[in-house]
Amino acid sequence: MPESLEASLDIVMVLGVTNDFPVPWGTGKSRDHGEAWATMVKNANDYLFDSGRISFMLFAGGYDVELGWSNPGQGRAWANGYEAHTSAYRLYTFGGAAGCRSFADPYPGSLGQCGTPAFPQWHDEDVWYISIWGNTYALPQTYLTSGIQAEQWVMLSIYGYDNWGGPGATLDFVGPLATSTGNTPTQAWTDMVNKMDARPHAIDDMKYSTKILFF
Amino acid sequence: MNRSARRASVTFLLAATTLGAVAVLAQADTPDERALFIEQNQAAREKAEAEIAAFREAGSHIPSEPDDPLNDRPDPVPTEWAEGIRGEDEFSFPASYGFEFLTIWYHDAGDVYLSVMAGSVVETGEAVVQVTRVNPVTLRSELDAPMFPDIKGPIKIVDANGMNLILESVETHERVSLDVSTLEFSPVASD
Repeated sequence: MPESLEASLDIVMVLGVTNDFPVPWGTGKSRDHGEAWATMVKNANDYLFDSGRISFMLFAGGYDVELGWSNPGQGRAWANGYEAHTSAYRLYTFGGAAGCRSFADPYPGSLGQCGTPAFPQWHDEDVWYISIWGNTYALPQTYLTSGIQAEQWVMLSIYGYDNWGGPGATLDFVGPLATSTGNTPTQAWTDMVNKMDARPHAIDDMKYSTKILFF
Repeated sequence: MNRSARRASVTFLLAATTLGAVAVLAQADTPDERALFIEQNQAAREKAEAEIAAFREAGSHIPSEPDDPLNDRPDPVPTEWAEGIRGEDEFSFPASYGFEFLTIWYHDAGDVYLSVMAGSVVETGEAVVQVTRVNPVTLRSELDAPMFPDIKGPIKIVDANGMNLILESVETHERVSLDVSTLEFSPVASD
């Protein structure tokens, strides 16, 4: 985790969007939108540069990938579009891992099913890919008090380790994402730490406890 | 190098990074190719981080625009009453959805800051005012019971005098004063 960037900044402003794409959109349009979003982030940082504020503040991209809102092709296409346009400005993914494997499920070491009744096509590799591809860092949603979400994210990280080349392929968790309901940020943090400790190869390098609020 | 030239060179650097990252995107099918993908992805990340650091370093020598209105914004924590919302914490309690608040004024009183909302009861239109007390350290907030001044609703907060807020009916322009210290209303003489 490149701590130095965030440690040198007072503010990282994440400009986020979801994968709740309009119905007519396909993968092409979703990718275009990812590119457009990256352009917006870049333009915002150019403004900071020109106004002399870049030394203490930086804009980053955000992507709330929900497995009930689009198929994986569109989900990946948006991330590819963003990263193809600018991998320079980080992308923070702050989505869910609905339907992905938890500790109770058998783990064959190969592709596992994720997804929802609306979009059952998701596999763990899709969620892993979106969470690690390019300059992307994960803020996994861990608001359920059952701890199952932390288990799902740990299993996704281990999926990368097992299938994509070991330690470098585990997910970089910036920190767990709590919300206004369910787990407090402290409980979400504890969940993630406990679940990572319970499985080999899940690297605990979290830096921040986070909470998202809705208005 | 002038500013635009410096920015152009930085833009070039970012574009070069992008091309490098796109090259990494090629799908990998064998274990060796997968490991290479990860290795290249990590290298691209580190390169991107280094370039952003250089970008920021270049920009850090540019002074903030002196005429930018963002530089002239008032202190967000007023020592006197001000209209607006100080922070999200006013809303981190169970909201009173039966009320429609037209104005919110806040005031930093040291170990607590006060947020006062004025408006109307949605179903009846009755005037209503409600005080929230927020601990500035823990951001825990406590919502007082709603109060109903004897003027026609909806109402707005229109002025302040010490701990007294002046509430005014939107329709009739009648006014009452609320002493936020004692939570007592008193009439205000019309002009």
